[in-house]
Amino acid sequence: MGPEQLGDLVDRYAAALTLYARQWCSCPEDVVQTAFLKLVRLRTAPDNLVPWLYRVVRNGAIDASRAARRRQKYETAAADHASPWFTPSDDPSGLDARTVTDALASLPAETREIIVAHLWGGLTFEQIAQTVGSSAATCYRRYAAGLEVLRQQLGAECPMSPKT
Amino acid sequence: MPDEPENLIVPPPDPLAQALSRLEPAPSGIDRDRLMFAAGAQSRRATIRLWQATAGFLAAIGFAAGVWMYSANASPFTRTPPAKTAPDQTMPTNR
Repeated sequence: MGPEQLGDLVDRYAAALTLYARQWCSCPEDVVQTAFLKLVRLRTAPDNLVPWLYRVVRNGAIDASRAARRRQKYETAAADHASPWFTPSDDPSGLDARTVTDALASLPAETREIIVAHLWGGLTFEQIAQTVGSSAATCYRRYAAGLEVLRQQLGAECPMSPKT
Repeated sequence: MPDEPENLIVPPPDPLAQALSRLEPAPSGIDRDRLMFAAGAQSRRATIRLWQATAGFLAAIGFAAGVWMYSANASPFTRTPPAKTAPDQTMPTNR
């Protein structure tokens, strides 16, 4: 893989991959960087490059989370909210980044990762299913259920939802 | 990317999902230059290891050949002395 291709991948996917890794660990940048380096080491690029990156980042983030828990029990929880998950929106009618972060953080991890991978990673449910080792239908059910929970939590602040 | 399967699950348009996806993930704190440098080093590592392995293999062959040749040429030191034979019993005749 050439440097231009790698640079393009970093520019396009690093932010979303970092957000994805942040669901588990407090050092998402390290995990994403390691994933890109792992990609460089491959002799041939994987067929499904983006899902492959998400899978490697997921495994790395879970491993990092376990290692961090071994070191210090409270580190992960404290660091998860240390850095912002989203760029604050300039659009006053948009969702509040902090509120969305809190609402997402309240979801179960297996639901949250599907929502993040689909909405910000752009993965299909089939690709997510390969990444998390589940079926596409299950992933979609979790996504829909998670979205309903978010709707309840953000409903009043959702700019496009009808106000009652 | 390979061809995607035809029966993809496509969720219906959801205003909340659209509003959420409009939020930009915070910029990654990855140092791009450092990553590219590390990637360059990684990609060369395989080549360097190949040369190291080749050099090690050739050195091992050279060493083995040297030992073999030494042992072959060292036969004068290890040659077994001729077996001692009993002196000739016939008396010399003085004519």
